[in-house]
Amino acid sequence: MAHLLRMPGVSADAEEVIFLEWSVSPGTTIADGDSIALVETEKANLDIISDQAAVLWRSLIDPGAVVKIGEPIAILIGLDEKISDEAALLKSLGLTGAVSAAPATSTPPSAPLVTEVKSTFATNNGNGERIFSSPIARKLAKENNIAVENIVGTGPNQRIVRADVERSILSSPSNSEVKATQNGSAVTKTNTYTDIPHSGMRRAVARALSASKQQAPHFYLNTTCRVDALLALRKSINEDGSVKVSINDFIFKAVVKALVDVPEMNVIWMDDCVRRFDSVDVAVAIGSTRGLVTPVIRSAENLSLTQISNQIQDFAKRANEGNLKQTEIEGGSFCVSNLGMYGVESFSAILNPPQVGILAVGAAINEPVVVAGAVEIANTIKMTLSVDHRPVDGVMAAQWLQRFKTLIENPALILA
Amino acid sequence: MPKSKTLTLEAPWVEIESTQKDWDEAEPELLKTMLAQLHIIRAFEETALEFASQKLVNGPLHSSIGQEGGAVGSIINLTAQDQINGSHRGHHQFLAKTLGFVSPNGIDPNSDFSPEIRTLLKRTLAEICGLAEGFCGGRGGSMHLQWKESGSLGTNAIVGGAVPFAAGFAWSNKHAKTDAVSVTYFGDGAINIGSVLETFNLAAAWKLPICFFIENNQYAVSTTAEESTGEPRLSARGPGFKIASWRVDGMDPLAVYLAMEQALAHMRAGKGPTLIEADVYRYFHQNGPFPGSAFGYRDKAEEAAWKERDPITMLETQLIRRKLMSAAEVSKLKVRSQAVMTDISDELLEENPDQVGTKRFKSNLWPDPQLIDAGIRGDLSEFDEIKYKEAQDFHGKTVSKKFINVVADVMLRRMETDDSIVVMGEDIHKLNGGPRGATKGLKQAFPDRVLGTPISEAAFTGLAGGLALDGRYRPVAELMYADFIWVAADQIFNQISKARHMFGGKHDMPLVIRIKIGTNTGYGSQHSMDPAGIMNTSPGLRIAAPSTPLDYIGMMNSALLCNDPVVMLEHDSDLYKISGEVPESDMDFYIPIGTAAIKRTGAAVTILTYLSMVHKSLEAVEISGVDAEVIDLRWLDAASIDWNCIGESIRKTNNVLIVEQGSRSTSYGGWLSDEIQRRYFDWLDSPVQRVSGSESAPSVSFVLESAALADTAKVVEALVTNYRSEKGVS
Ligand SMILES: Cc1ncc(C[n+]2csc(CCOP(=O)(O)OP(=O)(O)O)c2C)c(N)n1
Ligand SMILES: [Mg+2]
Repeated sequence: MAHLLRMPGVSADAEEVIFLEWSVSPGTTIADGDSIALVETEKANLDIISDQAAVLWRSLIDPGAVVKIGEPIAILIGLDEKISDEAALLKSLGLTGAVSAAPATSTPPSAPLVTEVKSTFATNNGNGERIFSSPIARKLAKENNIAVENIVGTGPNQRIVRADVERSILSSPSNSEVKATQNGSAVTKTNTYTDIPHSGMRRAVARALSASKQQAPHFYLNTTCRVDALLALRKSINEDGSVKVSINDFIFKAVVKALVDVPEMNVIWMDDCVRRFDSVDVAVAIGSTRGLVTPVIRSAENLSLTQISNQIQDFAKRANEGNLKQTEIEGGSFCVSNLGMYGVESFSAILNPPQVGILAVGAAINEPVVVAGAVEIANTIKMTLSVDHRPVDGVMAAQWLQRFKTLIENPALILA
Repeated sequence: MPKSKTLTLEAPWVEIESTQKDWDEAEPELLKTMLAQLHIIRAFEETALEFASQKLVNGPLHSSIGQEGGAVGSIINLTAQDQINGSHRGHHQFLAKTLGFVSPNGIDPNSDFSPEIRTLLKRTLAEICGLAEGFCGGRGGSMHLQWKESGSLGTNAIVGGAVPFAAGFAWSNKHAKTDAVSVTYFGDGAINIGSVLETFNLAAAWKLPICFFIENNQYAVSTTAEESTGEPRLSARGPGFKIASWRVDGMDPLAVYLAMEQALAHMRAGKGPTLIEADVYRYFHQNGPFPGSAFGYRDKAEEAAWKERDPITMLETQLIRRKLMSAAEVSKLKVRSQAVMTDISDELLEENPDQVGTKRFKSNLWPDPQLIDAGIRGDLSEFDEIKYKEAQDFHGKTVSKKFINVVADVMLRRMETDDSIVVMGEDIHKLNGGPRGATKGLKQAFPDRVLGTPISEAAFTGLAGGLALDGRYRPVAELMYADFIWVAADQIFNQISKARHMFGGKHDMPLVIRIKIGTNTGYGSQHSMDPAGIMNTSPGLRIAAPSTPLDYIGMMNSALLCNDPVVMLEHDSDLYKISGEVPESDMDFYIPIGTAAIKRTGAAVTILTYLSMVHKSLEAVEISGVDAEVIDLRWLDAASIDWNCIGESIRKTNNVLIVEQGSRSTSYGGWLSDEIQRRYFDWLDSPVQRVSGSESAPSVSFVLESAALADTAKVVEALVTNYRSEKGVS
């Protein structure tokens, strides 16, 4: 399993060491007992010895740096491990972006980890050391206004290659599909079919979702919520308020509230821990004209219904314009996806890593329901919850869904 | 004690001397024109030397002063149809030939020189000085003087390098059933170089009307004939090849004239080649304005003795004796000759304001440096009216044929429709179409245009070059194995490929060199080279590398229409045996020069390859599962490579794998990869990778040969290692 190698305490009185050199280069297999690196303390030069067999996947420290005890110095992976989605791995190791998403309690001893890693890339640059990137990767990054320092390379010598930039484009919707197509290949037409070359966005969506489906064991819970009360409440709010709120805004707010109420669901799966968040960061899936994006509303528990409504509208607008920021589309523990406006009654969605759950919302329909032995016509919405089984069991998810259903069917509670 | 019998050579070997009677009987006009030419050439050479001493000539200037008698005596009787070429020391021959061309009725030594003569002198001096007005636009300079129309087909800076071409001119003259001859001039030093001796042999074997004219000026730079050869009587070389040979005093223009008269009679009568050795003396050192004695390899007394016998003095004495000219007229002629040159100098030069008292060329006379690369090759306008066809145009109307049969078939067809095509090579006329059958049926159909050559790659390749330069015939020369290009190297790389550009970029060089590649035949280190990379170092050559029988037909047709030298790469073991679909009835279609063919579309990587590696790459792609695009380059040279096709593919895949079979050392891929990184840097996602053979040349041993050559497995390995994780992996 991929994990961070942290600077071990080398002597009782040393708080930090000077990192002298790597004994092995990235990609090398190290055996238990092998020297990994050489460091210097005030007293001596010491070998950092591995206590396990692993592959040094990438180093996080440059020779010459002063390193605090406990600070991550490298990423080690298992002997047969293949890293296909590097961005996700780094995210899962807490090494990229999403500073706010990392709660203080889960902050490792190296508090400045995230900034530290960032500055590793940045200092690489600052030190005049080269960040390897292929020419087409640089060209693509430049055209899409992405700084290569912010991309992690998966090519030989950790070179940033085209695929890495494309992954980045996915997380940065400011890049148009049209552009990517221009940069790529031409449309191929034959008598029987037309080949539309992948855009960077398409490729990235495909890659991320395939990885999710393969790595996160999904399970699904269905429920039907009666929404007559909610519709009535919405009507009255919209009638007298200056702002118009949608059913989706209510649903989103209910999701947030349910996550506050059932904090066991406000978690994500990490390699060596389940991370539970203090704030509620929920993403909303937007099918923009440029493709699927999932911007995250941070600390949504502090936002009112109208604030949420405004936020979502702003996201939608900027998604179409391609103006979402990288930080806005990273992280989150949960996602809401709504296809009700297309008349879809119910569907199940694929998790959006690293999130634990995604709620698939169908259309509001009229259907007969039995209430106290009598058939009534009611407005209902079918909800399907997809859950990552790794951090959460079925019962926990069911409790959450139950809470959510209660909130939806008693909408006053949402606003409470 | 064995019995011995003295053997004798059959060819005549004689020394000619002029007699008083010859001088008395010589036509007055002949003697007067000779004197006028000698004076003009002497004045010209003095001016050129003066320019050189003022550093106005860039590079060496090999003066002919002292040797003019041999040139004038031997050329004055040539017609405009007769052709000459020569060596680095060639001003005098060039001027004698061109003066004869512009004044076919002789030059009156007592009147002003014609405007044509003035222009000729000016353009020649301009050429020597590297000026635009020169015959070759200033590109040729002193050592590459050419004026094709006049029959002066080019002097040459490679000792002996021009000689095989002259055999080509002679072959053309003979085959065209004219009685024109070619005369090739070279020095006592050149008598020992292979190209000259090979050409002696070839010319004698084929009875070509060529005169080998040795200007024995006693020195090759500072080395004497006595030091260089066991038989310093250089004309002795001729009879050993059964070439009628003469020795003559080159300081005596009339004696040379008389010797040449006999040689011309011999050649025009169809009796084959001749050789004349003329003893002459250059008054100055190898080049520049100092006498040889200044350099210590000879003394002043020797120089004085030769100057005593100066050809101009000799001719003047005779003319005055016969009262054909007066002493005053003779000195006026000299003054007039010098005055013409002074006028010309004044037209070219101006005061140099930067250095008072010196001169420089008027600035508008220089050639345009922008045009440095113009005319390396033709503009392909010969294809203007041509409609091209590709494999898909014959869909449904094809039959399967073996590659090797198609090689012979298309040549047969072209020789039927084009009388100018002449095919030559070793054993091509026998064995039912040469060792592999590539010329099957040609000899029977066209006995006088299919020439089995002696084993002398320099001579016959150069002869083919001469045919191309002459322009009446379109030669196809076959090199049995690619490695033999080194044997013919000077002719291929210095002569054929540079001729067009060096002589001003105006005349075509239509020629096809068929080269058989011997990889995978077990012929070993000296027979297994892929020459594409080496060929591509010579910008004048176009390189065709067909991978299918159909492409061979279309590309050979284009090669035979093209007015540039085209190298046709053919693959013995890998391709001759294969069969492929070819048009049922059409042998007359053309595949455009400069077009590659996409053999498989793909997204992960662009494979650039040619010849048999096209097939192996396609195989490798299927095995590896990497979705590669495979491009058959087809035309390989820098000018004909299809950047449009390559560029489009690279912009799509962002990765390039160059696949070639042969040794990495002589590889073509190195050049290609360099071009690609500069042209497409921003489109690349990984370094350009290459599959090629070993560093060493392929060995004979089966396992070593296999290890030395790239094959399907190596391509698979490269694909899997480098592009497995790329998009499009199935
Ligand atoms: C193949 C080759 N070798 C050497 C030279 C250098 N080189 C130029 S002229 C010359 C001497 C040639 O002597 P000769 O053939 O007697 O002609 P000459 O200079 O006496 O007219 C030499 C060695 C050359 N140009 N080409
Ligand atoms: Mg000499």
